Amino acid sequence: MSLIASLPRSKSTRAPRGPAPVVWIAALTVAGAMAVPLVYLIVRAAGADADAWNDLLRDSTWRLLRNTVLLAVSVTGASIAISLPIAWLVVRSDLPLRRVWLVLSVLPLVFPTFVGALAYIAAMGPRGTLQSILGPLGVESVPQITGFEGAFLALTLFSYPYLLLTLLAGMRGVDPSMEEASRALGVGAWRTFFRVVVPQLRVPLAAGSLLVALYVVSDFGAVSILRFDTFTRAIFVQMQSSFDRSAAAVLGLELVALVGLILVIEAVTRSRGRYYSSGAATTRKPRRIRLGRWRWAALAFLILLMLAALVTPMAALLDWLIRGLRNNEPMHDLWAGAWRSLWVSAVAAGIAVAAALPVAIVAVRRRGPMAGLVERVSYVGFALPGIVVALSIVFFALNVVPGLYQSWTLLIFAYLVLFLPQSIGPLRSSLVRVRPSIEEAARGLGRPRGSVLATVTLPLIVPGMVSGFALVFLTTMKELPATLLLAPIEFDTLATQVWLHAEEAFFARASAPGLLLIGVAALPMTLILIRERGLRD
Amino acid sequence: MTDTDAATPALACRGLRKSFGGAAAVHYVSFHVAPGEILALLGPSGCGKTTTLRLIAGFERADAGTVRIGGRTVVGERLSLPPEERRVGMVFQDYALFPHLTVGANVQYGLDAPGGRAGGRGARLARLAGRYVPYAPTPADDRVREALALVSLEGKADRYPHELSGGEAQRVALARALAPRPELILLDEPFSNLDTRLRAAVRAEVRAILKRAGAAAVFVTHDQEEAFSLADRVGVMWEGRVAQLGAPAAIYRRPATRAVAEFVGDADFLPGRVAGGVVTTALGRAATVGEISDGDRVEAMLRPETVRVAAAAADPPDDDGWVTAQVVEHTYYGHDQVIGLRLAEGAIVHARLDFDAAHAVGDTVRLRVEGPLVVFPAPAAPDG
Repeated sequence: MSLIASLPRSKSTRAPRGPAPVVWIAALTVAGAMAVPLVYLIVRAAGADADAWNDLLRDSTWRLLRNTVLLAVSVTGASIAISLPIAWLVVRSDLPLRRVWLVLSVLPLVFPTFVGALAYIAAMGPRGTLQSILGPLGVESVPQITGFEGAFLALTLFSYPYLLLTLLAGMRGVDPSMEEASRALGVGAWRTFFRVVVPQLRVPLAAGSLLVALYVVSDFGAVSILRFDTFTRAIFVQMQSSFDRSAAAVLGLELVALVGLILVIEAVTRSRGRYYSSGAATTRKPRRIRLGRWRWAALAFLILLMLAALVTPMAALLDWLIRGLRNNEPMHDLWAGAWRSLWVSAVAAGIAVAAALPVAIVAVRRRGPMAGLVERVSYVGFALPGIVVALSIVFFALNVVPGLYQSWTLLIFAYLVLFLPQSIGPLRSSLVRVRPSIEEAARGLGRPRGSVLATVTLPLIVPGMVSGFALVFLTTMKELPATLLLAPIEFDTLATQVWLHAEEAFFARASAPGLLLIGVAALPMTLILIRERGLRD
Repeated sequence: MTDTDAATPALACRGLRKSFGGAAAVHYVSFHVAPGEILALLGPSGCGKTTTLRLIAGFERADAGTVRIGGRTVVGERLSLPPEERRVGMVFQDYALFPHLTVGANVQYGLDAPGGRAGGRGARLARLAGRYVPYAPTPADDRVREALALVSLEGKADRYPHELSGGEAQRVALARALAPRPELILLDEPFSNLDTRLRAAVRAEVRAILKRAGAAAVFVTHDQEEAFSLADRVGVMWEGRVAQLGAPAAIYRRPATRAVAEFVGDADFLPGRVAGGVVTTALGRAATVGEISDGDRVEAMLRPETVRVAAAAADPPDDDGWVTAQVVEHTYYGHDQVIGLRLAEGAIVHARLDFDAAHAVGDTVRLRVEGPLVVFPAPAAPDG
C-alpha cells in the first residue's frame, strides 16, 4: 500500500470529473477553427488602405445601411403582425381546424427565400403566371414586384414562421395556473390574457424577432434576385467585379457590426424581465377564448395569408415547370446538381455533428469561463451572414492555403462554420437529459471515460445526433451565398442553379431545382415540425 | 472478494478535506467501516455528507487526506485513483440506471469492464462484422443471475428501467452495484425518491440484502430514523465535520453536542447548575453524564421519552422530584402523542405519552425526569 501511495503522479491522478482531455482538445480545436473567419476578416479589413475606409463615408454606403435597416425593421414588424394573431388564434381561441392552420401557417418555411423570390417574379413578371391568368379577364398588367416591395414581401412571407414557432412555444409555456390565479382574483378572461399572458411573451417575441432580423440582414438570395441593394448584395458584387477585395472586407465588417447591434438590442430587451413557469404544472390545457363572429375575420386573414405564402408561389413554380417541360428544357443538369447538393450536404452534416459533439460535451458537462468561451465561439456562425463567412474564407484561402481555393474542402468548412450551431443545439439538449449520475455510475462500475462515452453517453444521445444531422443537412441544401463564392467552378448545386437561372430570367429552368429544393426541405421539415414543441397539441 | 482480514477495515478515511471555491465542504473527516458493517452518514443538507461519499467514490478530488478501501490506498499523497479503479459500488439517489439497457444488461455492465468478460468487445465487433461467435454462457451471465436473485428480481432481466416501479429500480441499482463484488457499497440518499409508505419496507429489505451479500456499506441520509434503523453505526456530520460517531442508541441517548442532540431527535433544554456531577434544574436534582462535572451555566437535555407524567396527586407530598406543571399543548400522532407542559417558573417541557394516555390542554399534572441527564454548556458560554 505504501508502495502504491508513493507511486509518481500517473495519468489516473487527474481530476476524475469533467470531460476527458481528448474531448477538451477536440472542443478547443473546433472552437479555434470557428473563430478563424471572423478574426481573418478583421485582420484583412484593418489592412485595407485608406480609400476603402473612405468608402464608409460615401453616400452609397449610407444607402446600403439605410436599405438594410429599413428591410430588417419592416420585415420584422410585419412578421410580428402576422405571427402574434396566428399564435393566439391556434393556441388560445376556438378557431375551427386549429391543427390544420397550425401546420399550414408554419409551412412557408419550406421555401428558401430565394426560391420564394423566384416564385414571385415568375408569378408577377410581364409574361408571368398571374398575367396569363388575369390577361384574358382584361387586366392589362400586374404590378411589378422588384426592389424594396419585392424583397419585403418575399422575406416576410417566407421568414415569419421563425417568429411564429418561438411564439407558439412561448404561448404554450405560459403556466395556466397563473391565469387561473388571475381569474380567481376577479379579472376577466380578456384582461387576464393581456395582463398575464402577453407580458410573458416578451422573451419569445424578442428571440423570434431577433431570428427574423438576423435572417433578413443575412439574406442574399432574395434581395439579389429581386434587385434590392443591401449589404449582402453589395458585398457579392464587389467580390465578383473588382480586384480590390478590401472594399468587400470593409463592407463585410460593417454588416457584422449591424448584426452585433441587433444582438445587443435583443439582449437588452430580454434582460429587462425574466419569467418563470413551473415546467411540471403546464400539462393542463388552458381555457380557449370564444371567437364568436370574429372567426370569419380570422379565417379570411389566414386564407389570404396562405394564398400569398403558399398557393401563389407554388402555382407559379408549377406553371413555369410545365412551360419548361413543354419546351423540352434540358434536365440533365438538374439531376447532376441534385446529386451534388445531396452529397455535399450529407458530408457537411456528418462533419458538423462530429464537430459539435466535443463542444456540446464540454458545454454541458463543465462550467467555467473556458467552457463558456468554447461554446460561445462555436455559435459565431449563428450570427455571421453566409456571405461574410464565405468572403473571409476566400481571403483566408488566398493568403494562407491557396491550394484549397475553390475546392470542396473550403466549401464544407464554410458550411461547418455557418451551421455548427444548428447541430450543437439538439446535441446539447439531449446531453442535458443524460444525468451526470448515469455516467458516474458507469465509471463506478469500472469503465474508463472513453468506454463510458461509447457505451452510455453516445447511445443515449442518438436522437440528438439524428436531428442535428437533419437540421444541418436541410440548411446546407438551401445555402446560397457561400456556395456561389466557394464552390469549384462549374459545380453547381440546386441552390446555385435556382439563382443563376433566376438572374438570367430563365424561370422555366429555375423552377425545377426550386421545386426539388422545396421537396427536399419538406421531408425533414415535416419530421422536425412534428417534434417541435410548438406543434404538439 | 478475498477473505477479508478482520483487522483490515473495508474503508478507512483519514483527514479528508475538500473545499469548493474557498468554502470548506469537508473538513478533516476521519472514520472507518469494518467489513460487513453498515455506516450511515447523517446530517442536514450542506453538511458535507454527500461530498464525503463522492470523495470516497472518486467523483470529487480530495484536497487532502487518505482513503483506503479494503487496505488498498485509493486516495493518498499525490495519488487519486479514478472511480473506475476503486472497486466501489455506488447506488445513486436517482438510481442512474442506464435507460437504453435492459435490467440484465445494466447489472452486467460492471462485469464487462476491461479484463472482465472473456472476449467481450472482440466478440461484439466480430458479430457486428457478421461473423458467428456463439453466445456461450459466461461466468458473468451467472453472476448477473445471482445478483438479480439476491434482490429477488430474477424474472425481470429483460425489462427496461422505465418499466420498473421505484422500489424495483432501486433493487436493480443495488444489484448492479453488488454484481462486481466490490469491497464497498456507497448509497447516496437511497430512499429519498421513494414513497413514504414504501420506505420502511424497502429499508429493511436493503439492509437484509446488504447483510446477505456481506458487503460493507456507507450511506448518506438526512433522515435520522432512516440512519438509525438501517445502520450499524451512525456518523453525524455537522458543518463539514464528523460531530459524533457511534451506535444509534449511543447517539440518541448521549449526543456529543447540542446540535447533534437537536438533529437526531426532539429535545428540550433546561438551564441549570452542575456541582459534583449533579445538575440542578427547575425539575430538581439529577445525576449527569458527560464531561462537565462542575459549572454554573449549563443546559440539561430532556428527551420527551424520558419525561414521566402522572395525574396531579391528591395527596401533595411531592417526593422524589415530582414537579407540578400545566398542559399547554397537545399533539396526537396515533401511535403516540406529545404534550407540552409549562413548569411553575415558565419553561416548557415536552413529554411523549402512550397512545391511550388522556391529558387535555389545561390539565394540571405532575412530572419527573428519569436521570441521569446529558448536560451541555449554556449557549452563551464558549463552545467546549
